[in-house]
Amino acid sequence: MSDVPQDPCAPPVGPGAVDCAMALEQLWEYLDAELATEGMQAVRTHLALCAKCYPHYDFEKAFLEAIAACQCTTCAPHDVRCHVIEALRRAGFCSAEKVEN
Amino acid sequence: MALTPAEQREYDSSFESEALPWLDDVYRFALSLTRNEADADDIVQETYLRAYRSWHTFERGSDARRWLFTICRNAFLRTRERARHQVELEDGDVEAVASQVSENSGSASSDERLLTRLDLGPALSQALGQLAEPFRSAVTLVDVEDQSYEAAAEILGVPIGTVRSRLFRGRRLLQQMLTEYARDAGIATPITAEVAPDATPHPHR
Repeated sequence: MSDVPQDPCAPPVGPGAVDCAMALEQLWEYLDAELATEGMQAVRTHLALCAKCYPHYDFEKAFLEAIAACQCTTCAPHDVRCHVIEALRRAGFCSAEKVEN
Repeated sequence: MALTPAEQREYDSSFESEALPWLDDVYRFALSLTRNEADADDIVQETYLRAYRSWHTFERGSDARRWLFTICRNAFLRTRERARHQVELEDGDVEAVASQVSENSGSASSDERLLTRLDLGPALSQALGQLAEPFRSAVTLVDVEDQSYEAAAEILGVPIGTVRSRLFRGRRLLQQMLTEYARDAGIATPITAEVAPDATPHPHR
């Protein structure tokens, strides 16, 4: 092994390696786990080594988590639930769920 | 062909246990499409009625939520067609809107720093409500409902590349709206020269 620290922002070395531009270009797909296995590994390796790219990763990750968190607690209002059950019953559905008026 | 009473009970029971638990998810998706609670109520009713009538076609063991989202999307489109109400932007308009967003003058780092100082919850809810179609449905399906690109493509009836493009542009639009919100709220400081023109994420299409 070489004693010289690797510069991850240098042109990629080896098959599948990515530089900063490539890592950032694929950042959302990486966070969404939509890259192929090799792509996931390449971006993961780059982020682990690159102090310049990691804050971008950190920010985008927090941003996506915030989107999910701000909406996932929205529930169907009780009225909507009642309307659905009533409509289904009119169509012949027999439910164990009681509709409270 | 009419079902026997026992078959009907099984039909209803499986529908109740597999389809009804996703009512909150379907409502959120319907609300993201309509941006109106009364319209979402109608779409959810329509979705569940259609799902109930077609329940015999649902492949047991497959993803009921994805199936319901697809029905919901189709119900929304039919409602929109009936009302002759143009909500969704045409592709040309989409490109025009996106072009205003995609180039953010290389200040991604300053915007990122700015947004970290913001309580994202309320601002994001507001921004999502203002996000135009077709970006909103892509963001809702993938980021809120945790659907894969492939599932979102199936639900929306578009190629995966289109989902990716709409999703990434929707996210960029949200970030831009949040940045403007932060600046309006006085949270932002003027962009200074300290901000290095770092590499900006430009997700490919």
